[in-house]
Amino acid sequence: MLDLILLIDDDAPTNMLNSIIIKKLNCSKQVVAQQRADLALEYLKELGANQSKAPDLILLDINMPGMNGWEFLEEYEKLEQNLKANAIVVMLTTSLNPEDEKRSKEVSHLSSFENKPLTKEKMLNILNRYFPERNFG
Amino acid sequence: MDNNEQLFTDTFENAGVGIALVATDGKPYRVNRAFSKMLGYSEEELKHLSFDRFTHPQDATKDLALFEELKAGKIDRYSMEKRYITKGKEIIWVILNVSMGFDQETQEPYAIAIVQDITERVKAETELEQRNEQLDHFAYLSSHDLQQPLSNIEGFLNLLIEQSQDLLDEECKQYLALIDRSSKQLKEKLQAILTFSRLGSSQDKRKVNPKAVIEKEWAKLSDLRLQKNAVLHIDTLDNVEVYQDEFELLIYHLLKNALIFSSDGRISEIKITMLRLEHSIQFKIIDNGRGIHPSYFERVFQIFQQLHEKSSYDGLGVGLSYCKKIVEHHGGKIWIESTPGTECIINFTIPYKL
Repeated sequence: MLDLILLIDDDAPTNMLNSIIIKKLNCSKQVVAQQRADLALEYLKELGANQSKAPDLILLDINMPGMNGWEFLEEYEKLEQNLKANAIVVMLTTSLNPEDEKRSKEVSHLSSFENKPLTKEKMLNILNRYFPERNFG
Repeated sequence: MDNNEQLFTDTFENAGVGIALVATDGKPYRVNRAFSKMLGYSEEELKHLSFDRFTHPQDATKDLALFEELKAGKIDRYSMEKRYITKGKEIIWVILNVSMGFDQETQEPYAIAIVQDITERVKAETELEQRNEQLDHFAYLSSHDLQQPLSNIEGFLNLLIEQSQDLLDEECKQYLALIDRSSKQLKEKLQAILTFSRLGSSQDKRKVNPKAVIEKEWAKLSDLRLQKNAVLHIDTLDNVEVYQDEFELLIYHLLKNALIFSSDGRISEIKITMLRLEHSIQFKIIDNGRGIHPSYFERVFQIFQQLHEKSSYDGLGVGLSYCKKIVEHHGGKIWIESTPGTECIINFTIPYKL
């Protein structure tokens, strides 16, 4: 079981779908959804200020108004180590274009891409790939 | 002046195109009214201006180089599209044709420049190009933005199908299955529009060995290839400069097309040959498939066009529309020759210079 999964997507139904899937799999104690990338950064800083643990997993949308997924990652890399812990960042995308693929090689904190919509199978794959010791089955 | 001379002078003066007689130092010593009017300079002013002085800087080097070759007798004429800068500092586009003459009286060679103003045409072409780009951009944005709500439909539909198995009767389950199938089709079509709208923007220019590309793309089609028992012959092909990623997609779809529309009765044979034309290389993809009736030769290149009834082949009808857009991005042409029931040849050209 993970402690905290952070969802960042400007689209409310998407966050809702992803939360439901995570709850159905019963794989995390807490799920927090943020609709703005800049507010998600604030949230991470707040967690650090309260001595709370950083999320284990972040599911990040690419296309968002204001700060997009790539800009979020740039800012995220600047955060202090204790705010990031060893969080896994997975980008969720409707369709991967060649520029996104190129860009993904330039950022160090991106673990992988996953096509939307998230499904139970995809979520289990992510969990087993990055948290194999926790036996999600 | 005798009649002939008068006739010649009148023709020169009244011609609708600009005409200038240019001395070997590049100064036009005699121009007609149209030439003078086009540039806004009087005949007297032009006599003292070498042509590079009223040529757009970006076109002057090429024009001067060709002028030198012409004077040296290396070429006997040249023509180019170029820009002039008028006295009023306006840029105009022209087609210039230059050849040499010899003045018997002065015993001096001179150049004859015939100039036609094509500014309106170039403007219209530029505008059309911009419109097409906007259209592509619109298609890209709309298909991209529609994917998000569609993926939500797909996601919640997955949950609904899973959770309602014991609650719904067969009829309702069937409705859900139909919604599921339709949303998948919609997704594929949006993806196709997205791919189509992106084609033509590649700048990945590279010299490639077409045979290597063909073999690589052929390998990707192994399922279809085995199912059709297909044989591929590739003639000796010259290397070509292409936008590599798009060229690969072009070859992939042409091969796939040849495989899909093979004849049921015989072994599918695909042959690829090449012809060297004056300005481009022509490739031919020849198959012994069911072919296409001439009345469809144009239509097959439109997006989402399928000639065969749905049941026989469940593709989207996008392959050849991709091919056309890719070939045109290279400045080439694509066309079909076919004897229905016997063979189908898809031809395309790639200019030597992209």
